[in-house]
Amino acid sequence: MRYQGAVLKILLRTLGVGLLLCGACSPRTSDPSVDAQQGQSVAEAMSAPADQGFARALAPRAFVFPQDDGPHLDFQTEWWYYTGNLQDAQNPQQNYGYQLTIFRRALQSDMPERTSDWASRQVYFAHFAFSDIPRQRFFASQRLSRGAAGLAGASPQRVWIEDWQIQRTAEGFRLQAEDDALRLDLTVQSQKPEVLQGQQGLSPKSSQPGNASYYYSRTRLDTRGTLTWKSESNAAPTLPLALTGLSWLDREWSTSALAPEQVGWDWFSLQLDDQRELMLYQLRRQDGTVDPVSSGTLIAADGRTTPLQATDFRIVPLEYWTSPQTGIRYPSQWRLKVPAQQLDLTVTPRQADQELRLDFTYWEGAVTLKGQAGKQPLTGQGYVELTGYGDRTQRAPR
Amino acid sequence: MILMRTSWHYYRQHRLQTLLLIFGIALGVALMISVDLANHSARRAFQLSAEGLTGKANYQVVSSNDQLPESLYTQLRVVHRQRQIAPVVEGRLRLKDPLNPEAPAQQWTLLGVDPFAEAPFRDLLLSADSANQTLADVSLLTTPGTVLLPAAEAERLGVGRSPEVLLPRLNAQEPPLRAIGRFAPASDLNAEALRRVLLTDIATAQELLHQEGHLSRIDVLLPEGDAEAVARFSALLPAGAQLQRPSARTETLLQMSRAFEINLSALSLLALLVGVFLIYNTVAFSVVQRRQHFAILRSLGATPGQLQGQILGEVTALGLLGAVLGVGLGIVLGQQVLKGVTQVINDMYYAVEVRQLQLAWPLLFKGVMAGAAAAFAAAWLPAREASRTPPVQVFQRTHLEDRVRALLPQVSGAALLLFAVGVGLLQWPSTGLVTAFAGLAGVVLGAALLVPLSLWGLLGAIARSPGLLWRLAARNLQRALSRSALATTALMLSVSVIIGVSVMVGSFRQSVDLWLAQILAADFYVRTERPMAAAAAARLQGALPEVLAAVHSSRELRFKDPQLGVFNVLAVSHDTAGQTRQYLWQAAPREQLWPQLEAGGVLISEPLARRLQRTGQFNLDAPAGQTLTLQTPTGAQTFVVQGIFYDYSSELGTLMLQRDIYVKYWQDPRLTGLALNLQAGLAAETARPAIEAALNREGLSYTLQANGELRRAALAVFDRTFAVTDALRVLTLMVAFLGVLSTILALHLERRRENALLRILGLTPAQNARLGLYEAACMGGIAGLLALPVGLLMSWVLIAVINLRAFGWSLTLFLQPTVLLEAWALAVGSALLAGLWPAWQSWRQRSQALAGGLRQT
Repeated sequence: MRYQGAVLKILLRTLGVGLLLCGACSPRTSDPSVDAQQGQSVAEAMSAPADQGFARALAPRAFVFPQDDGPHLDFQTEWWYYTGNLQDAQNPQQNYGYQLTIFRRALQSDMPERTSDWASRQVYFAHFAFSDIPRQRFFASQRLSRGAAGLAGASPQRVWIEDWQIQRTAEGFRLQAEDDALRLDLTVQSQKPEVLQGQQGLSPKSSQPGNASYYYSRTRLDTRGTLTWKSESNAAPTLPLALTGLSWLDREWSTSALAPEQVGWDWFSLQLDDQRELMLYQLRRQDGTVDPVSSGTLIAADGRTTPLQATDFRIVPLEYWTSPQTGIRYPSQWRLKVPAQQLDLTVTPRQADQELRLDFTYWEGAVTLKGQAGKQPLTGQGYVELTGYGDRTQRAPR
Repeated sequence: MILMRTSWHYYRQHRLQTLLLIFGIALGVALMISVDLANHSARRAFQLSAEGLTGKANYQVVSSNDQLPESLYTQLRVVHRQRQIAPVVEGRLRLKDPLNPEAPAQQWTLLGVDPFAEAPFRDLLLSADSANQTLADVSLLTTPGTVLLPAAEAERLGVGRSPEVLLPRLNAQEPPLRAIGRFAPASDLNAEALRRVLLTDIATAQELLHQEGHLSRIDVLLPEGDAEAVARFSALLPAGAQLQRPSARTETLLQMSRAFEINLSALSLLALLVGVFLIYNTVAFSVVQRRQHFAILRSLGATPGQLQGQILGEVTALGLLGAVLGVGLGIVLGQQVLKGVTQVINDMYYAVEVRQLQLAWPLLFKGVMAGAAAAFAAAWLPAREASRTPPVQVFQRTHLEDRVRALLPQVSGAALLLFAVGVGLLQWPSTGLVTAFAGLAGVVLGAALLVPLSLWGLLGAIARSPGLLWRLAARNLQRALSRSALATTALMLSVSVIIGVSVMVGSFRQSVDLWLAQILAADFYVRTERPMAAAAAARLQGALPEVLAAVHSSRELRFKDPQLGVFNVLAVSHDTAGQTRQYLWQAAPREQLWPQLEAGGVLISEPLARRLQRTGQFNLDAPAGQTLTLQTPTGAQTFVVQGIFYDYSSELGTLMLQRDIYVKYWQDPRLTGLALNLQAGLAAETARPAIEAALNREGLSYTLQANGELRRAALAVFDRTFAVTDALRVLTLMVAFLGVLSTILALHLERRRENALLRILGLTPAQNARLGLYEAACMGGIAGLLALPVGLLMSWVLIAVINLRAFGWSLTLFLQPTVLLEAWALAVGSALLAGLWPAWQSWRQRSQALAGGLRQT
């Protein structure tokens, strides 16, 4: 869900296709002519040139912290993307996974002077997912708000949407989010310097110049915090459960449109037990081939990075899983090979159902990995994101 | 079977009379249901539109001063994690029709919502229509002044077809709105109710309504029936904000227009009385006229029971036919009445668009039943009488009239009794409107039953006049008392309704006019659509030292107190009308009242005082030293009432206090009104451009009205309000006219033989025709004369009892002699008009017809 096209789709869905005032639950959306019209405008908008007023990622830039933790409002799209594998502090066999992502999207590059505090050209939305591996449960929820009136916003100190927030602390960041079932309150502390992805932080998304993003990551975040299950009935509230683990942050901002032939992507962020990390993504095209701009980065234990081109790695699906809710078929196990680095890994989801069935349906879940680095056996964990496996405009049935 | 055929024959032979009978019933029923339907439709439309605007919210957060800080919403959502809430900014705007810029501006409700929070609440499917749909949707959020129109209106204006549809504002200084798309409520019912709604983003709504920083309300969804959840939510709210049911707000608005509806209902009640009477009149005639015919049937062997059954059956059938026709007519009529009602409601209460009459079956059924029942009841006595009287007696023409005359004392006794009951009910110390209406009905019916006796006496007087034809006419009518009394009563009733309503409306208008003269003391009045900063007043005076001698400021808001209910609070920096304002009661001489207000006292308006008296929270009989405790935003505060002033501006009532006191307790330094006094010798029209320029610089959305203009505008609204009653008065008169016409026609047909005899005795055709006209004039003149006291009595009841109870307004009865004169002339005129055709017939009656006329017996 990191790619601009998806963000655009969500916004089209929310703004254009009629989340507005409950379009989705109105019987009128079943009118085929309306659907056809909307489908068309989705396609049009996706290939339409972006607002010329926005800044574009054309050349590498210097990253400055903490400023670059805050928003880059001149760019159209931006996100703060946290994922992590957690364990019960008392009982390390109990594994959990979480994803907390806040997206920013500018509706226009400029807006006339307004007198209302509610007026804003910025929209924020967020996804929060939690994988309860011991009980094989998966929770996902979303927030959507204008970036105004104190409802949502971003600064180097704090990024928030309503009651979900990412807040700078003395050591790192504090992440707070909750849904109907649970409350997560985590502190993350980076063990390595920021990783600049692509070409010194400039990450091309198609062969067209400017269709690129600025992209940095914090790939090894020491994480501790609490999980509180909300009482399902009116039973006594459960005590907070102490958790520890590792998180990963992807930060990306850009102004770019999806190339028409790109249908989706597979994104891997893997933390190897030898203190290295591997980030890989492949953009899949309609004809089944992989877009040559797909790339990756291998981060050494000391933080040094090795960029990987599409030709440097291979991702082969081994198993498939079909979502009983949406009928979408996802790959559910992979063999990853990075021959130059002598890496040969099998990546397996911690549980099959980690499908987010929100305004936009995609699969994002905690994974384990097992394999070899050269002759050495290697294990690890990470997160995988899979999009574009259903029909492009398909929505979860309601 | 034979009986039916003879009846059929009769009705065919007397086509005109039969038509009159059916039409009379139809008109009576139509009058009855048109007002009912219009009232019902307006109310229903309002409820639907209120529900459409409220959506699925089962609770709302509102504030006691109508201004909820927007930070409360953010706090509820971000800090208190409330998810099922949505902010709303709602207000009214006047827009010109872009396709018809000359037409008067229309009132619209602007509904500002946050699309991101809306999903659970309102079932309005939005879609934008411009070429690039997403861009249009984005514009709603990012482009100031953009709105979505209801689908039908968007279609009419071509939104989507033309690149830009601009909606000009009433105030040409303000930029027009841009319609960029449409919204379509999921149900047609909602679509109808939301016809006058503009949907927009909440930021745009704040800007258009100048309500930055504030919300109108927060819609809330809480689990139904979970008192604990409600309590938990309430606990999150600060002082000054309260959680209530949406219906509470709807109710408040409905209550506002209730008084207006009551006035209309009073009118429909009078229409009902006249309508029923007309039906009675028409039906009774058709039976009385056929007494001889029935007598023949009796002689031929029909039993009284058969005959009575036959008469009642056919009359009821005709009654039903008429009533069904009346329903159709009532629907057409109701459409017209509805236009008037909607106009008034939009002028005075809330924006609502009602195009469709709601055909409420119970109301229609009620109308049909009332029509048929009135016809049945009207036929009962005459039918019984006609079928029981031995045939021989029937042919003695005097027999019936003798019996009617013999009944006069009983009828008059019953009249006095009814009258007394009516007066008693009106004097009843109850404050309810039902007793008042019952009393009014008693008095009017009593008066109606006194007509036969009065007619008898007055005709007797005319019969002693020197003119031969007059004597003949009076005697004719005396002899035909059973018929002439009915027609006279119907005419008297409708003319008295006209007098009663005219005098009431005239007195009302005069009272309002006088009151306006007393309270409009400044040269200019400024009202802003939304509260403005207090500094604006000082800046205005500072900017125009040569023009303005004084600027006084005021803040008016609708205040809801948990104990005292809803009323207006008016905070003024200076009582500009202090020198001339009239008081129902005052604690101190005029010049000492203002110092009392500065010390924290309050003045209340008469409607508020009367309403609080009804609820036992104020004693009008001993007002001195009484206090009112208000839940102000800073907590409960007690105010001493220093005076009760007359006020016709609001039936909700007004509490007036000094502005500093208001600011202290309400924590609200903003203003909604300014009263400007010009420098001596400056004409209003000379000063206006400078004042407008200064106000425009403040960026306000305002109306500026000179003293005279304001007064004229207020009276124009008043006149529009009562335009509906004018229409109904005309209809009432039509009903009465029909009554007289059918009476005179009947008398004429019955007396063809007599006419022939008179001709043979030497009367010229012209004299014969004049005789008919004289009879009409006698009836009209007497009906008009009797209508004067009854009409005045009715106006007194309307003014002193019904309006006082409904609105709490004391009106001074102003009597214009011309009204009475006109009413009398109307009675005579309509009677003469009704007499014209029969007179023309008598004049044309040729010798053959004379012979035929004589042979008739």
